[in-house]
This record gives sequence, C-alpha cells and structure tokens, in this order.
Amino acid sequence: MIVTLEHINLSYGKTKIFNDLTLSIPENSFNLLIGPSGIGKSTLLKIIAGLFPQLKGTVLVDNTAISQLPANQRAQHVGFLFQDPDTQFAMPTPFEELTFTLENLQIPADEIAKRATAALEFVGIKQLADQQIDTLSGGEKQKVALAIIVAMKSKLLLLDEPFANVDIIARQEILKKIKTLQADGVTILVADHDFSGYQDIVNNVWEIQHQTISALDHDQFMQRISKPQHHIFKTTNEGIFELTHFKLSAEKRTLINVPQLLIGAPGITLLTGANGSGKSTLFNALTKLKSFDGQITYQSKNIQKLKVAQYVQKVALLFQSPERQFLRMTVDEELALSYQHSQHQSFWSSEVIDHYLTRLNLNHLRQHIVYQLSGGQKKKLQLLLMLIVGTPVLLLDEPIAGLDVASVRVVAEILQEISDQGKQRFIIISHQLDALLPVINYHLHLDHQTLCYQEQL
Amino acid sequence: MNSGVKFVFILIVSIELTFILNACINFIVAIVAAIYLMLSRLTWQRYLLLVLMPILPVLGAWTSFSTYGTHNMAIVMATRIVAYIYLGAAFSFTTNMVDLLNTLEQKWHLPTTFVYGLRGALTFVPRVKQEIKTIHIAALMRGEHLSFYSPQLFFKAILVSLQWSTRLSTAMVSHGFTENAPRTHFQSIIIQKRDWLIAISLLVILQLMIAYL
Repeated sequence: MIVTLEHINLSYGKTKIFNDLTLSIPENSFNLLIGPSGIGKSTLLKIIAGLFPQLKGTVLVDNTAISQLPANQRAQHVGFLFQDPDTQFAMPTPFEELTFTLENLQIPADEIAKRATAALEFVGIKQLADQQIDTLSGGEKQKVALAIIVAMKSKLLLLDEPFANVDIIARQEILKKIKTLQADGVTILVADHDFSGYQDIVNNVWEIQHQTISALDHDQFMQRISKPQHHIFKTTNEGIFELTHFKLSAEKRTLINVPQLLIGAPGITLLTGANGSGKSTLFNALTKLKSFDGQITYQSKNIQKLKVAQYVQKVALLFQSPERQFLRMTVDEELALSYQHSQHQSFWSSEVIDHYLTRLNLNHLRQHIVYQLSGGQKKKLQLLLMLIVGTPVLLLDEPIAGLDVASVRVVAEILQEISDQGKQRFIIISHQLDALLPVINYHLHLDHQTLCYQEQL
Repeated sequence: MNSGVKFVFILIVSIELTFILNACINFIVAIVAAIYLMLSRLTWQRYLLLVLMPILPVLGAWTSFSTYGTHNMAIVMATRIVAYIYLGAAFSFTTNMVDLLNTLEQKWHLPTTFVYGLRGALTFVPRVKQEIKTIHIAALMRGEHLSFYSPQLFFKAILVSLQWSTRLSTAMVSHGFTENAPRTHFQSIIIQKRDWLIAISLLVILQLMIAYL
C-alpha cells in the first residue's frame, strides 16, 4: 500500500468533515476521487500530502509518517498539483521554477539541467522553458506544474481538480502523460467532477459521502458518466456589441483579429476556444479591463468614450475567481449590498432571494464569512450576487468550474429562467459543457484568431 | 562587477559622503558614477531621467541653503544630491536583483527564507497595478465606487496580498523548499578577485582624496 489512512477524524468548527475514515490505496494504481463540491476532496488530498500535521489518526505514505518530514524530503514521496494554476509557482519562468525545486531537493548542480530538460521534454513543453509564467494559459501552467512533479520523481501524485480551467485537448494530453507516469511506477490520485476520459484509465474510483470514503465498482462508475451529447444551435445576426477592425493582443502575440462582428444576442451565448486562445482576454476588453485596437460599440456607442462607472452598470463580468467580486464580510451583507444596487428590485424580494439560496444550497450559510465558504459555494454565491445586480449584459467566465453535477444543473436552470424573463443577456465561457448545453442558444467559437458562430457542437 | 561587491562598495561610499563637506569630492564621485552609467548602455529614457531627476532637488537645496545658510554650504548640498542620485542609479539601474540575492545567499549566507521570499515578491510587482484597477472595476460592477483612500480598497488589496503570500508559500513548500535547509546551486556565484581589487582601489583613492583635497 502506498497510502494508508486509519481512523481519520476532522472537523471545521462544529461541522464534521470526516468521521473515522479509513482508506488504503495500492501502489502503482490510478485512482479517481469523486464527490460533490464542499464535501472534503481537497481536504483529503491535503491530509494525504501531510499538510495537516495535528490530525488525529494515522497517515502513512510509502510507510512513512509524511507530516513529520521536512518539505524537501516530503516532495520525494508526494507531488501535489493544485486546482488553481497560479498557486504553484514561486519563480518567474518554468526553467527557474524547475531549478529552484531541484536545488531544494539538493540535486547536484550538474544533474539539474539534465533533469529539468528531461521533464520539460516528457511533458512536451520545452518551448515554454524561458517564457514568463504569468503569460501562459491555464492549461500550459498545469503542464509546467506537471513537469516539476516529474522532475521531483515523487512516488505519489495528488491532483486536485487539475483541469478546472483547462480545455479538452490539453486535458487529454495531460491525462495521457499521467498515465505514462503510472507505467513508470507512480501512483496517481485525482479529484475531479468531470468524469470524461477516465473510464479506460482508472483502476479505482473512490467516492466521499457521509463523512467517509468508499470504492465504486466499474458498473456503478459507468452509470455516473453522462453520455456525449450532440447539439444544434441557432446563428444570429443580432448583437448588443459590435466589434469593428477589432484586434486584441497579449505580449505581442495577436489573440483575436476580427473585421466586423455582432455579439451578445438576447439569450445565452456560449464562447468556446482552446486554452490561451484569448476568451477571458476578450471579456476583459468588453469590460474595459484591457486595452485593444479597433472599436467596440455597446448599443451603437463607442465603449472607449463611455465612463467606466456608467458602462459597468450595463455590462458586468463574473470573474473567474469569485473572491474578486466580494465586498462585504458575510453572505447576508453581500446579498443586501447587491439588492441595494439591483436594477430589478421589485423582482428580487426577500422570498425570491430565499428561494434561489435554497436551490443553490446556500441558505444555511447566511451568517458565514464569504471568504470561508468552499470553492463551489463561493462561485454559486458570486453568481447570485451578480444576477441580483442584474446588468443588461453579464459575461460569465467559467461560472461552473469546480461545481458538482447537481449544482451545475441548478445553475443552468437559473440562467435559463433569468434569460427567458428577458432581464439579462449572458455570454458564457465554459470548458464543462454537459449540463450547460441544453440552455445555450448561440455558440460562438474562437479559433485561428477569428470568432464565428457555429451551428453544431 | 559582481552585484554584491558593487552593493557593499556603493554603500561605503554613500556613508562616507554623509560626513564629508567637500563639494569637490561630491563632484568627482558624481562624475565617476556618471561615466559608469554611460558605459552601462542604458535606454535613452533612463538617461533622460538621470538628467531631469536632479533638477528639482538641486534647485531646492540650493535656494534654501543659500537663503538660510552659507553659499559654501549650498554648493556642498547641491553637489551631494547629484552624487547620491548618480550613485543610487549606478547601483539600481545596472544591477540584476536576482544576481544580488544569489550572491547574498551563496556568499554571505543570508537566510534562504529571506532570499526566496524576496525573489517571490519581486515576481508580484508587475501585477500590482492591474490588480488595483481590477479591484476598482469589480467593485463598480457591484455598484460601489472605491476611491483611492477607501478602506475597502485597502482591505481588498491586503486580502489579495495575503492570498499572494499564502500562494507563494504553498508553491515554495510543495516544491520542496524547507526553511534554511541546505540547498544545491545550479548557478554558483563566483566573485572574481578583480572585482574586489577594483572596489578596494577605488576606496583607497577616495580616502586619499578626502585626506588631500
């Protein structure tokens, strides 16, 4: 056994997370960890990584009490890939991060370059070695993070929703690399909400529920996997934004170049495109967070000439990281603030807000500090806050990243209701499509620096 | 010249200048620093900055010392300001911070926690301006205007920096960084004997000038 957990008990305040949890993971296996958001998947991974040294119970990795080891020895047993790609780098470029890591592990200087290059080659990102990490896309950052773990030669690899901000192609590439690592004797444990691509490669599926963990057999797991869908969308020649001779660049690299295009038709538009193609950057341009060449008009008015304060009353952005949107301390205070500035106050009565809170499973958290909610709870609250504000256009950047299947369904329903009432138009960036697709009206695809509507997906 | 040696050398010269009331020496130090800057091939914007930057402080020192002090004092103070600005620039415009931190770590055994904490913080610097703008616009989207003195803005900024620092420490620890544990070095810093020789000779010349000028 590479991982042995015995009698693990853990509580946050009065909330019990794990009750007498016991788990053993065989060496050299590929494991998937599932369960709804906020149930404790990340916490369990952190326990295994030895990041809870005061925990009651036994945590053994590779027959070693991992939490007692200093970080430079721990890294040789456990490598951790985080959900948020920005959490994992201390240095400005991939190569410097690699050398920093290998120096920490006290690898002799003449071996460092060899190991670093081999790791970059293994993941297939040698060309990124000296680029600034800040300018890489989410998928590229996760590949860099993987290269570092490969260089560390950790025996156990823990991945905490590593694909939340990663497109399908990069996701498949990374999964394939991880599978290759298993063949080299590494044990893998991935926490993920999106089960696609795992059925042929996992050995064990673990589910957290009722404060403990149990194994799912193959049939049970197959039932959970949703079938691939085929969808037809309308095209449109309507739109509240008009882009003319529009050119968007990042660090001298052209991302988008469109002669003329209308976007933001009434209803819900889905915006897709590969990682790093410039979807989020387009949202930043539309909300005046980023400069661009050419012209964008909103209702025939040049947005460059509109005052930011007035313009964002019309067009708002749901940021990828929810904490950006928070301004108060508790859930109730946040709701009150949004209500105060709501453009549809008559609709958002306290009963209606209650109703939505209950559907989003947030009603019991009203007195909680917003910054202490789980990742999924933060995202759901953030969405509700921006729906209450009710700007005519809302741009949503990965609104369902990291949400469990049930929450995604509720969010999709809610978006459709609000859109059907004609209150708001939505443009959504999302990599997880299964539950969203039925509510999408238009599909805008970004490829080869051009944006065009597509009828199929 | 090795950045650590340069740092120590410029520090000693600066300290000495504070005790010397000799316009001539100030002038010579400024000229030497200016020559070094000219040899360092900076961008023209930086040269322009070096010309413009001293004007106001020099004028200010000159007028106040010549009004309330002696004419002699005014000359000393005005030249001293130019000497300080050029000395500072000779260090900050030509020194790679990473190089300096590496020297401090490898040669003078500064705690690694300090060195890598600073190196991590340096990577944040370019992001700060955009972050403030984002906080501002994000608040406007919720209907709140945060002015530059608003406590909310500071609260959000502190929150972001706390997040960045937690991120940084998680990133460092998960990549095996252990406080003050021994590390190997991919690029060993070697201080050339020549660097010390140049620094010491220049210091000796300075002492001789102080003694005889």
